Amino acid sequence: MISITINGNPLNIEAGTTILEAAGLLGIHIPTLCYHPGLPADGNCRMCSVEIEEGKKRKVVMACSYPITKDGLIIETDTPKIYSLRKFVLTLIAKEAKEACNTPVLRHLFEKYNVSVPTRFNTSPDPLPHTPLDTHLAPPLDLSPNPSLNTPIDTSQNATHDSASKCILCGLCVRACEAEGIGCLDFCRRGHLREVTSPFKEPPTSCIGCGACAEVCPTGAIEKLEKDGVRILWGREFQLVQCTRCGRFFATKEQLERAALNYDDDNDLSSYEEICPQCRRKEEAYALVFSKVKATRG
Amino acid sequence: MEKVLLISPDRCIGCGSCEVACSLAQEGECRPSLARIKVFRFELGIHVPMTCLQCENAPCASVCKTGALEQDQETGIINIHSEKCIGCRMCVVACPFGNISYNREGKSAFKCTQCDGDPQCALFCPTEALQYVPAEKDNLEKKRAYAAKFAAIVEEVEA
Repeated sequence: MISITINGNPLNIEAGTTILEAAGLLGIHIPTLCYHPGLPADGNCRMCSVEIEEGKKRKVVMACSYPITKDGLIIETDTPKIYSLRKFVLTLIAKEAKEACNTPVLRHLFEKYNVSVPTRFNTSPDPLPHTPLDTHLAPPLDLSPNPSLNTPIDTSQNATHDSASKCILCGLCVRACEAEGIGCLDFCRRGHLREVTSPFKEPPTSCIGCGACAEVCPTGAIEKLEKDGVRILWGREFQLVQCTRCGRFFATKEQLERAALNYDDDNDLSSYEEICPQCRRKEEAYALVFSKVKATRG
Repeated sequence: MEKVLLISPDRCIGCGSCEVACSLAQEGECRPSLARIKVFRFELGIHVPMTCLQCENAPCASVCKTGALEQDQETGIINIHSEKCIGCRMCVVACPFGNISYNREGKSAFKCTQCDGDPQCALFCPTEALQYVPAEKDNLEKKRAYAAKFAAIVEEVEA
């Protein structure tokens, strides 16, 4: 066990605990944008910057990725230096990802760190044309005043119709897809042209259409459309499997195939594939009681 | 003493108290659609409460890649760490009995975790169709009988 101090509060933790986890134990909130407890930490957003004192030296480290190994470490999570650092990060995001400014996660951070969208800068238009595959990107946000939100940030002067500007390049979608074992998303290009996409910007062939990328995206930049039994994701159209009992569309064929990989030989339950979870439950309940009556399987 | 959640459908009257108690305990509101247990009402007045059976080699836990679903080695209960869920819903697809679902608002999968050792459904069931009883011989025999029925169902399907 190591004893450390966070914002003046003493704490005993096991070696290897990250600063973010340790702060969480004390109820101290450190803002993050690219962190997800279920995925490996990346430390690219720089929001979780904290100051540590190692002997006489002070330095800034990323709380999500810094494992604590030194006894007596002193951590400060809200110094003026850290505040201005986080504010700077948010200002850069506001410039690059203009459409993301009105999304709840950033909105809250902008208010807290007193960031307004800068009017001085204006990026040059992307020289490469947008491919039709950019359907995976959400359309530009409707900036009409919405009474349910607080005073909307007016970005109409500087908003390009670049729908990619909702992406803050946190890489959560990349890591989520990797965690799934698919890994069909990654960063490409450099500088202000950096973006997240599939190989060769073509509809990814290994995508199973689970939509985890869309679920973890903090700004909703990834659009998962579902209509009439078809799911469209990253330019790929997935024909959803229809339940043979109730007709409800419930998953993609690729998802079912992937789940079936986990059934071992003793447990071949692949015959349940064409039945939606709700009907599976109902059928099991039925068969449990009416076991003398054979549950018919299609 | 280890305890098991024993389901006796012959005693179930279909009142739905378990659904209400479960959603209230887990979600903070009486919302049966978010209950981890569901009652199926069939003809002839036969009702069956269905909830997670805490499978031995749980397909849901083995398909989860972030560690959000973790099987406790001692109790055998598959617990959920909601913050780790990335919303892929592979567990929903993988469960052969449909006992796990996904909450789109809360962005996490949800299933019965036996309320940390004090299942509310068993507490509120008026007819003891749901019982949280010690894992003694008699109770385990009943559970095995039901498990055998499940196994028979699966064999029927394979044949």
